[in-house]
Amino acid sequence: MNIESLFLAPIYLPLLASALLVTAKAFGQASKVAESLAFLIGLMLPAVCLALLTPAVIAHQSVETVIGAWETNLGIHYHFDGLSWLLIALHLAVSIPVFLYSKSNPSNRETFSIIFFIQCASVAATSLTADLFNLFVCLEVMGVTSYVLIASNDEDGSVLASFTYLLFSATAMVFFLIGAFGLYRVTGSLSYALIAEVKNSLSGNDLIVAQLSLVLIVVSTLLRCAVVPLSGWLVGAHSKAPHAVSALLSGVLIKIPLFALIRLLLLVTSSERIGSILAWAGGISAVAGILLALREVQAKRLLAYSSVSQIGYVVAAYGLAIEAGLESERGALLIASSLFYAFCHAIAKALLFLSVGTATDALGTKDLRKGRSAAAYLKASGERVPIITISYGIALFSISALPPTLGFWGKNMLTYLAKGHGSAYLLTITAILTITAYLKLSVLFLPSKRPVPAVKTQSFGAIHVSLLLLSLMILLGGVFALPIQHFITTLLLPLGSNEVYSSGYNAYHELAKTFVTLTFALFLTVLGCSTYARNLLAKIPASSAGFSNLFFGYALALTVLAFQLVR
Amino acid sequence: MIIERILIALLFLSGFTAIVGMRNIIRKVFGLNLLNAAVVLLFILEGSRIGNQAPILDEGITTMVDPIPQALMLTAIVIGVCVTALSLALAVRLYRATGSLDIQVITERLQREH
Repeated sequence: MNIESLFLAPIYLPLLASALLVTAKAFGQASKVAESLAFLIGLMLPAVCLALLTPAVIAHQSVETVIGAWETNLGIHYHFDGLSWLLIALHLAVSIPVFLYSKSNPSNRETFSIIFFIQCASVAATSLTADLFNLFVCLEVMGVTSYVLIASNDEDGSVLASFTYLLFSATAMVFFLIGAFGLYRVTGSLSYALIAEVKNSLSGNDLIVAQLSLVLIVVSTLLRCAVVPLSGWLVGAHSKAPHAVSALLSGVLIKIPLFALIRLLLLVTSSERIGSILAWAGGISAVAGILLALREVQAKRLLAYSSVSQIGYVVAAYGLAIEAGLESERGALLIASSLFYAFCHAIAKALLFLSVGTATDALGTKDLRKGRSAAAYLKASGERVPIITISYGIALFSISALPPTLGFWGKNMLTYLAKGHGSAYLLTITAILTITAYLKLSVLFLPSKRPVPAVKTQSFGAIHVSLLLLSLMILLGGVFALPIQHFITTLLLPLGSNEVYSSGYNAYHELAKTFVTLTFALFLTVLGCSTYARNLLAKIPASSAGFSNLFFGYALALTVLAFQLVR
Repeated sequence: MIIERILIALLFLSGFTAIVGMRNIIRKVFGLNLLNAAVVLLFILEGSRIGNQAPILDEGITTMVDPIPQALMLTAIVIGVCVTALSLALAVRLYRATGSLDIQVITERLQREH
């Protein structure tokens, strides 16, 4: 199959689907037919294209093209390789179930679908672009669609969360533009390859300008990934959004910019210094996120804090990989395990948001102190087979890294590879605290003697299909973890390494470690019920999403990175 | 060019102060616009370092500006307009829900509801 004719399809097709829905809406024909057609064009066809492209990426073919056939130094560069394939696959794996789930929520349905497909296109474009200004445009489109989707919830709190996120992120993107300006000024170009060519021969003042510009770009992009100290916006935005949107944003959208950035980082000198900072930022994110999750009493906020913690794993492995250099064995394995973990977390977190969201809707409360016996409530509202409870259990196992799930492999492999660096200890502590935090969340499903009042019945068809799809991915991924890991390593080969390394790691050989982690977690959970522990947890300051705090975090990140690069 | 640069920096700082320091959400949106305007001006100023004529290849045009920053800024302006429109729409919804434009009052009132 011709790779050139297919690789832009994941951008064009969702846009086409979106246009179709707009047209249908304009003619007052926003029917189920248009919706299904859009689903086929916007999500299923890109999946087919991706499947057709698989042989090409396995053979390490890549396409470098200039959109619109402009001259190389004028046009926008797009680059398709194994990394883009994996990022688009990551997005599709979550967005297809999420779209099916969203059918169960009829309010604002048309607007949701239209914006949803534009977002799909922006994600694909972000993972393909090799041009700095185009990256800015893609990130902005991704951002604007996120703001709209977050605010599409009927709750008023979602509007405030969306507004805060918008102002913070839009301001950061202005700094991104200044960074792009700086790089354009000293290198005279905006495409990654041309920037790298010139940048490596810079010296003196020009080099400092280029490094500082790079810092502005990296920090502004990392803001979208919600790494501590840039994570203040996430909790409000992801916990107030509709469940389907939370699942998509928390699962996928925070990881795409991180991996899109790798193309730029690989091209410039002294990226290993950025890598070492990122490794520590990841470890700190992991611990800080989970500590804040532990003190949370609201289900969706707990999940959102846990996202900050889990992205910490991805960022830590990513940073260590860049520090080690992707051509080395350690670097190649680490970046593959970072991307592998991104898959693990994306699927598990989407499943958690969808199942817990549905359960809290049935309960009528998100408060962990009040909600009990969610399964009974779901049954009362018309669920015949307890699929929501079962899939919550599967997601719980995956995120706690218990066998036989995908997360069991992902987390253990990642901590194994990160060994030897300080942040690996932070990640181990986080693994224990994660189980404790999720046990705390599980009280929603504990049976209680309270009688279940009459609740509104609803149909669970679409919800069940979507949850089953995600659960199946977790279980099958757990079985085929080693081939998947090998596949990812193969696809990422063009990033630098010369051969497909194999870690030779088998998570089942370390079941004892999992057992110890679980024992510690159970011990901590029992301990956590005591008044003393509660008082201690209450002392952890709640992170506030005030503007001065957000910008303080931004300034801190800028200073640290700038100091590291210019010294 | 140094005076222009100082003026742009002042514009930028005033925008940033509005976003971080002001409590009125409409003013915050204005601040965002000032920031955008400052960056647009910076790019345009930079593009005119090598010439000052419109980049249309015609007779007598010898020293034209660098057209790339201008093309980029057209895009940036369009994005800026979208973001402004969306943020104003959100501001309207916040005002309808809470009856205030003050970010602190809005936060308090929304928290009290829950």
